[in-house]
Amino acid sequence: MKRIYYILIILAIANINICSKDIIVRPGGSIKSVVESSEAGDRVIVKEGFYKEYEIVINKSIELIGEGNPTIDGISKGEIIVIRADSVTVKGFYVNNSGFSGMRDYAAIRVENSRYCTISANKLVNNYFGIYLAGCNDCTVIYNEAMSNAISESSSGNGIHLWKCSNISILNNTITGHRDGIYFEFVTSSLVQNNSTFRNIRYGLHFMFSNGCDYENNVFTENGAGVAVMYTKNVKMINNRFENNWGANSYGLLLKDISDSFIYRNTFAGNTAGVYSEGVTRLNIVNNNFTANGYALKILGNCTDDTIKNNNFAGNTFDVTTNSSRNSNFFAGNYWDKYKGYDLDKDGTGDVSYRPVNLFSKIVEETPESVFLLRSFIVDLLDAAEKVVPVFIPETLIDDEPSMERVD
Amino acid sequence: MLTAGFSCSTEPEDINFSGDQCSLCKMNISDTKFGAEIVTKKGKIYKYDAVECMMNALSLGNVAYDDAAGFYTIDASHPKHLTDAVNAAYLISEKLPSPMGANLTAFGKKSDAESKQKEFGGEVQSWNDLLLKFKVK
Repeated sequence: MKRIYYILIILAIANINICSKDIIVRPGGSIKSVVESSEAGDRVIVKEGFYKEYEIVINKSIELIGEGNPTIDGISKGEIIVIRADSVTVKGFYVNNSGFSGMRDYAAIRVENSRYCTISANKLVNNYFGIYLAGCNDCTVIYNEAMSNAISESSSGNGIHLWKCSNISILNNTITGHRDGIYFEFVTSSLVQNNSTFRNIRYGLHFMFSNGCDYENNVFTENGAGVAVMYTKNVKMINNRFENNWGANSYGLLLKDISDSFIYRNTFAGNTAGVYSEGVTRLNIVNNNFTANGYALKILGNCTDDTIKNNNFAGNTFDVTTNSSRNSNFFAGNYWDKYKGYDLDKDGTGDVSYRPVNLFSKIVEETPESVFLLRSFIVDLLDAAEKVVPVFIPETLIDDEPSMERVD
Repeated sequence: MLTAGFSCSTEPEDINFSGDQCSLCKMNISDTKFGAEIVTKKGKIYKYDAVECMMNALSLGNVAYDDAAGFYTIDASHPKHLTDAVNAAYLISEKLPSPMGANLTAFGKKSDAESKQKEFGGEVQSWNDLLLKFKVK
């Protein structure tokens, strides 16, 4: 009896293999109707050309492959490709002009409640949302480009948008001109690696309620408000670059209610505020470069048990600012270009402790307009007076082992 | 004009969707279907990117409930327009994600909330329901 079962199973598998076939779509044909008539396991190969189609729903495990980058133009009508099945691949298309709706988040490529899907090497131009994954697990989004020419935050959606997903890899994508480049909400155990997001209207990367995700080797530049991460624990950010995010509410990296996380070997350069942290606990900020920012690190009084160690602070207007006269964070072994101490025992560590917060930065924190006094004589006088008789500077916000040279 | 500038107006102020920041979560307020505002008796204005942020701010005590002269929310049927939040109807639907994760959309008219409920599913709640849900009172 058992043997018969085995034979039946083998036959069934063989049957699937025999049936799976390549179906070719040429210009003039309909991708949508070919996809509808295809069967699980098929490869639908779309030849180079222009296809005006939308609402192409894929509800079985097929591969949809573009040869020579065919263009699917959604003529602003709605969603363009919608995936509702496991193990679907969409590869090699130009997908342009999704619809726009006040109420619905139309996307060029949407994946819903699916596993093991791959979206690769597509170019998405002028869509409301680019790639939208909702309720998905174990999917990969790789080598896609999304660009939108939206002008305001409200008329544009996000480039790559994930909602309630886990185990997703977002690799080597480029996103520009969207509202947020990469957006995560309720996403767990995912990897964001080697992506570049620039000149997006709001955030280059934005995530909340997304525990246990890793962000490595990404570049976030010239985004309207930089990068924002909030309400999350167990975040690892390694080797990313946060650059040239300028503006009143703009941050290289905005951290809000983050705990038990790790920021290692990143570069924060040319931002209004390199890192702004509020309500952050047990965060390790180690071996990062803070270069030429307005404020390198703003750390608010409600941040506790954070470690700021072995970072380089150079060329920033203010190195560290805070709004509190107390400090419950630990600073050690950082290189401060403003440090004026000496190292008599030549052990590489300054013999005099360094306080990175100065009085004027506290005044600016409370009255931003006073920044116009920067580099004036009165400010030098104030800072000198505070050094002699310290009153305002948090007593424990101190680096007892400042490094004499840049830390590698 | 001068006196107007100095007196404590408790009128709400429009939300600027390409510049204002949420008082609680610090995000730029951008989605024109969502947003909320508290005006205190002293005329101080707190803006939020979502009703859930306003509720959380009240719950955390960032703004004392009794200090408020008025609560306002964006009416999703009329993007960018503020309406009285106390008399608004709130649709909580998984199909309509809101900026800070509560799936909460506000409508000035209860009938609007109910017609969207028919389309998207979910539950229509009142201001007082929200105060309980977010443990404000």
